[in-house]
Amino acid sequence: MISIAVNSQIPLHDQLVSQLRALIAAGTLATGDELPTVRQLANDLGINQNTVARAYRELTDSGLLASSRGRGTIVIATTERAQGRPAEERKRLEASLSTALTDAKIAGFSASETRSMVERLIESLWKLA
Amino acid sequence: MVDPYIVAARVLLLLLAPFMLLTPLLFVLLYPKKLDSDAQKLQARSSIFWLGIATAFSLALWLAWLTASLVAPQHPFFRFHHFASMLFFPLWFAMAMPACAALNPNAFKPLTPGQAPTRTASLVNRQSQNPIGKFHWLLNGTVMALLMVGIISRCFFPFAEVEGRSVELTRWVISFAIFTALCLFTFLFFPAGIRSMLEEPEPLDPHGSPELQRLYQENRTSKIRGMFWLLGCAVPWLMGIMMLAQAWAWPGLGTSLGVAGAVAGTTLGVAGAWMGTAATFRAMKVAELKAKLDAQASHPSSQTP
Repeated sequence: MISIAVNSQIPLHDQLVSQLRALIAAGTLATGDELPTVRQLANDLGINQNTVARAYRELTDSGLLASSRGRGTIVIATTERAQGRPAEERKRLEASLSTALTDAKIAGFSASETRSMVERLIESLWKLA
Repeated sequence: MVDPYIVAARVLLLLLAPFMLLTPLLFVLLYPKKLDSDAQKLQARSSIFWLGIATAFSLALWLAWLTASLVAPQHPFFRFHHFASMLFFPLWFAMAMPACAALNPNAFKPLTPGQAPTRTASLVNRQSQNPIGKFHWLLNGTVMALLMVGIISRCFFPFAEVEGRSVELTRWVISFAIFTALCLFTFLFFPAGIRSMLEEPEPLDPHGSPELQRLYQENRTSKIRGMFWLLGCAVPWLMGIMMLAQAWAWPGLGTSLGVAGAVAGTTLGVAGAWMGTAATFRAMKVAELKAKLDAQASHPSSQTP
């Protein structure tokens, strides 16, 4: 299931991309699973087909999805194709984590609260629980 | 001696107009009410009142027309009093349907995401849930191919000519052309029509209720199956049989073919009406549930613990 907020400041295709990535990372969408067609998802969400197509294209470029003749768009991997060298990837992820943790601190969360939150997410995504 | 069939036909024609004019009002009066507020009740009462007035006016018009046909039967226009039944259409579409919507507003809400700020959709690819599989198309194709072979094989026998013209050949050409067009429609356009029915909007409530998804699936499956068997199979098969009979033009079969065609056509028409009505009621059930779930999601405190 996927939900979008049309009044959000986050662009619709970014919402779609991040939710689909999260579902793939959590294992809800597994390798071989078929996604709805562009038209079906656009009709169900009441958005432009180009928005859905753009989201699918972005995930295809990152190596998570592929278009299969006769099957539509399917999940082909649960890890993305590396954008650059491993050291650069690590730097990029550290920058994203830093931003998220800065947001948590600014919002008034303590170190232990933030640590619990992060551990819970890690357990859920890597299925350690 | 009076022909009993003519008497029966005249009685049916006499009853046709009042039956059709009263049907919208009776339907609305029997329609289940699901109203939440006083404003909705007022709206519903007003709709039923005006439908009643319009029905009375239509019946008065018919009665006047019928009376004129009895007083002045020599005027051909007055004999067509049963045409007053055409007033059924404005009564039904312009007044009865809005009255039903007033009696149960949730059931008539369109099943589209609309302007909802949060929209939820299933990630199940509905093309993989197509109830019409290869076997169904194979069966349909086999029957249509057999009918086409039957029509084409007429060519292997000479067509009778009268004064240089052949009515039999003309009849064969028309039969072949009509059935070919039907085959093209059935196998070229109908599958695409079914695929687009699978992609019709099915917006979910914010929590993705399994019951709503189940109702959507039942509704979609019934609709597609009905369309396939009725429009995709029954109608072309019946037309194919009629065209086959016409192509071969067996002597003395004309009257029987006419009666058989009328009975089969009427049966298909009734089946189509039944299907359409059932599909409408199913869609209303889905709309009602979605409206209820959306209301619960936007007012969580109103949910029963």
